[in-house]
Amino acid sequence: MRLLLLEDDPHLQSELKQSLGRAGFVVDCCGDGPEGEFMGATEPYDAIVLDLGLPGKSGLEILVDWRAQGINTPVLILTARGAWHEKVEGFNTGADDYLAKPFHFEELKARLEALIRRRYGRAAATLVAGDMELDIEQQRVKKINGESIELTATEFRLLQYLMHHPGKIISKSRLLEHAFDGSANSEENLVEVYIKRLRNKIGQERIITRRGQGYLLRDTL
Amino acid sequence: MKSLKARLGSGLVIVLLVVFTIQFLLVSLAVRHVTDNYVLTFMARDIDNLLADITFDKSGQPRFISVPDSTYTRQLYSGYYYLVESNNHTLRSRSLWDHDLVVQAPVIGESMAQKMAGPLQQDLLVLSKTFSKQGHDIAITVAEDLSLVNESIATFEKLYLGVSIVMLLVLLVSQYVLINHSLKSLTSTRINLERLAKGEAEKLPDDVPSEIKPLVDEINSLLSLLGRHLVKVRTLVGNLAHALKTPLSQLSRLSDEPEIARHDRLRQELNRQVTEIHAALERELNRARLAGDGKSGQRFRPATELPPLIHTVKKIHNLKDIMFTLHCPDDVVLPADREDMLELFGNLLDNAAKWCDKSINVQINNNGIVIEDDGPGCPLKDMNALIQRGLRLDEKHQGHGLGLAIVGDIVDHYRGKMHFDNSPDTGGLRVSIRLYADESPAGND
Repeated sequence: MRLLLLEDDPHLQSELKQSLGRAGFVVDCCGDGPEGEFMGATEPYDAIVLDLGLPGKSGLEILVDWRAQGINTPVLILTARGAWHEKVEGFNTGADDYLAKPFHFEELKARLEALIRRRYGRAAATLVAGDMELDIEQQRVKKINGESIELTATEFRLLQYLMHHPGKIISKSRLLEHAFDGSANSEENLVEVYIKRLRNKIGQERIITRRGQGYLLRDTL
Repeated sequence: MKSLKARLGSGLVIVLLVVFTIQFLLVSLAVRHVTDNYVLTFMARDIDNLLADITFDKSGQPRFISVPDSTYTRQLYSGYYYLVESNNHTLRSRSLWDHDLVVQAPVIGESMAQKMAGPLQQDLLVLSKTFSKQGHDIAITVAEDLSLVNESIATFEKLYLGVSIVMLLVLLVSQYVLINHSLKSLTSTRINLERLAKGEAEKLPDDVPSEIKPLVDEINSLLSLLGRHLVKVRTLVGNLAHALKTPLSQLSRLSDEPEIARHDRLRQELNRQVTEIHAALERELNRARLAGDGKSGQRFRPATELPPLIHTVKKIHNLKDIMFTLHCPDDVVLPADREDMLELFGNLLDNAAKWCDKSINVQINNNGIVIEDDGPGCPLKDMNALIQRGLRLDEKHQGHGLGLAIVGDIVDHYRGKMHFDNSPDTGGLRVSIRLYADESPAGND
């Protein structure tokens, strides 16, 4: 899952980027209001973490403009401004969740995962496809028969994205955007390599290749 | 303290009474004076006529050459009399009959007017004059009955008195109306002050008489100063919160670092201290943020303000599917600051959302606020702990005690009462709050 983190405090930004990365997110960071707004408006993020006190343009103004442009990416406001009238204002502006500082990272993670689940129309807290369940904590696949398959970070993100959209064709470029860190050598054959590794681990028949279109995760076997 | 109206009214009544009395007396006096003078001029002419008609015989006795005017002779006590005295001889008008006009004759060339009682209680005006004619001193006195004239003067005076009283009354009534009208702007200012106190107005209207305009302007500028001060304090508090919370967040994050996570005691201590600082910070910042006493033009309409707040609480607790029921008449207005009330309700609803099974019931009317959930409720012994706020009852629900502590601070600030018990309907925790509990009943605020 690809996240945009708009936070002007450099320490918190780098800590969060690390922690979120460990939790299986691809994180783009930005500490400037207008630049962050542009990133949120042009890149296909799965969710955005928005600090309200950004230099250049306040988080609420950015959110208003995004929503006015029809950008519906789920936004979690992460701010020191924790009074209830501020929370009400945040939700009225179009936020999807609100977390006041100081916070526990576990709560941020849980809220982001819930946001993304809801975005892709999944109510359950676990990601399930066929006889597979994705264990988000341990970043591995558990099968109904009790078998457990370890995944690397990239394999986990790739499978997680596919499992969020079961039965749907996902293009290579989309997978590149959502499951691969932008700083890595982003080429489409990289996707092919990782799909091949994933197939070797979870079974060839689960991911179908649609030539010229992309890949599809079968949610039933 | 005496009312302005009574002071103005009584002063005016006294002044009007004095003025009217003096005026009445002056006019009566003037009328009598003018009448007397007018009659006296005729009487002086009569004296001249009588004098011209008098001659003296050889013995020096005065006598009339011709018979005097019939008014003096025709009728007994006709009201017109004369008396001529010279050399111890007296000529009397027949009309005088046996009545003696006792008159002191003035010195020659002088005249003397006086009033005296005549026969038949007549009011006589008497004019005497002494002459020297043909070598003899001669005193001529004429008298005229003024009863009829006096009667008509009295009639005029009565009429004039009546008219004066009517005018006095008209003046008094019109003054009363005028005073009332002038003081009406004071009355409206007083009513506006009451509305201000009730929180129904934000400032006083300044279309008032110039006399009280400085007062109204002063009150308005104080109000706006208070408002600006509140905004300033809240901004400063917000900035402080912002400045402190980001570092706190990082401290909190530190406990997840593998190096620290390995030392469990260290990690727990770190977490505990960060939580303490956060709780103290939140609570004190909240106290600093609390607005006035809710009596300076602040109003909170739960019926319009609560639905967005409920939406917010629902979103924050989106892992649960909570049914909120809000019973609040549209016309309920709490005389309290909006942000304070959102903080109060936000914390209460947040707390209820943490504990509830699936439904939360909010009831607001003029008697107070009741919020109940369908959670496990609270054992009696913990109720005391809830009331002694700041205690965390359940470590799993982080910040539980803090929210209620903040609610307690707000309720205290609005001189309210808060009561905890278990709902007889759902068995969950029920919180009942009344703001301004020292003023009863709340609805008449």
